[in-house]
Amino acid sequence: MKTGIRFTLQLAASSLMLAASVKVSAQHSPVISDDYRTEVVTSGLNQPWAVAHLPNGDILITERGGSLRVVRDGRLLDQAVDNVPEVYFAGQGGLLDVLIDADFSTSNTIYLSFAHGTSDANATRLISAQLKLRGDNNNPEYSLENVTPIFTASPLKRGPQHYSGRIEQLRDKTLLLTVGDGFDYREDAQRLDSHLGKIIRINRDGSVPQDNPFVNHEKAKPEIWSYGHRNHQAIALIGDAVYQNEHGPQGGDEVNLIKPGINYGWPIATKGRDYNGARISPFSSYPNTKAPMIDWTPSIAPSSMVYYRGRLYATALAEQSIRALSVQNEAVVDLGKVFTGIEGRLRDISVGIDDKLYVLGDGDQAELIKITFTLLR
Amino acid sequence: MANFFRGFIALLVASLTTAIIGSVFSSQFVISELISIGAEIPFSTRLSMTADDFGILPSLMPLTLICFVIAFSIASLCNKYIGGKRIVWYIIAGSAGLMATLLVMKAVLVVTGIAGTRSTLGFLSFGLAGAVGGWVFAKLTNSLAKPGDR
Repeated sequence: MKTGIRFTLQLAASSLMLAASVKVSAQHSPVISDDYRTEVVTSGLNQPWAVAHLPNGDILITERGGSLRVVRDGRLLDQAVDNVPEVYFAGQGGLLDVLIDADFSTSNTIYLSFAHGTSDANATRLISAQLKLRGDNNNPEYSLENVTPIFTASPLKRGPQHYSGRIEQLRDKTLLLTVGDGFDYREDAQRLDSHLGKIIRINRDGSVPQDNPFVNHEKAKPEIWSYGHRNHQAIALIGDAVYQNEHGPQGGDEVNLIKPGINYGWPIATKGRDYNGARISPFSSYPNTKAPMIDWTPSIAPSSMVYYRGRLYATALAEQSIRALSVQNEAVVDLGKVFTGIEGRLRDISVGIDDKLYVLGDGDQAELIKITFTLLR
Repeated sequence: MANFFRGFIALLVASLTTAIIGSVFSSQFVISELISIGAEIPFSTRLSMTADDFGILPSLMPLTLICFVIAFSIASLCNKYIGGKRIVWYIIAGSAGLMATLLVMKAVLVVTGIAGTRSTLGFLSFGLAGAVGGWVFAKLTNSLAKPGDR
């Protein structure tokens, strides 16, 4: 009898241990093979923000100070793109994102987002321009022509924080732009007569698509596509699905699946706290606001995100990391950190025309790094 | 030495009083802004958030303390060389000192460090909190002042 009880206990203990080991194994099974390779494409970048890959293999990199730099064959050209509009460079402001138009091969159109204005009256602005290449292969000279402001956020705000500024182009070729809440104006994220704290959608000439959710809404800005955002630094497209991430304050960083007309809650619903420890709101969730798919508390400060080979990859500033996210039936699961050998604050992640991942550092003397790897699962 | 100790305790009490009042004011202005954008906040939720916001005291009180050391030193000099009612100098010093501190914080941080002070009324409410701190300090140290300075 005693032997029977001991056997039963041993079996139970073994089962528990096996279950525990399977769970641990599942948590720690790698997403990326350890033998990934990194290559520094270029270095010496000064506060870069975004990367765009031209069809000819040249790479455009924005620097917040207002320069649009060009990398050709791994060499950072001394000559920046000419005729870039003047930007308001302070705090988090400056030249932000760059996007190549879907019809670039015929139109040469690119888009730039940046902080525009003065310390007392500034806004996130989006321009379109044609990128012209002159000179020969050894001395290429790029310049912008037909520079046209197609969107400027309203109202103008004081202070150089929370511009957001990420640009994406949907399959119908309309443009999405993230507009931050301006920090001191966080309640504007819930006000439909303000662009602050929104994702806006416009046509390539700046006009408003008539199927935007608030075009017939009295007093609402017709460009608004979604609202209740704070400082959203990334948009990643998977087909027609739009994924976004945004900085919470202290905690409350989010990944959201964006649908038109939906309220994403900031600042009424947030899991973050103010930097001094005070509550932003008594609510971490609230009726008629969409809860995030992923909440990163404590904050990792997600900066950019891209879809690549069946995964989303998000760079982080504070956590100084790259995270892989799986997406199934629109649901997102954080698979944890990958490419852990890449250190430092990371500002942008993109896919090059060579189908490799490119990661951009942050701050002074930043690098652009190319990653080659094998996906394990 | 005993007088210095009593003065220091008075400074701590004044700073804590101001920090608590400031925290309560800040919570009310933040809640008021949330209500203005449609949030429904029951009184019990208001109370619990206000209590939870006392979490800012560890950062707000040292700031107030440093502010008061400077402001009350100036008040003491004004009282000595200009004269008038001692308590009035400390009320003015507490109020002006705290509002000046907020302005310096905003200039340094580029944003408003305490969300409840973003509006004019919220900003002025901290002036009131500072004035109460000045009044508390003047009352607690009244017996330490020379009779002619009171």
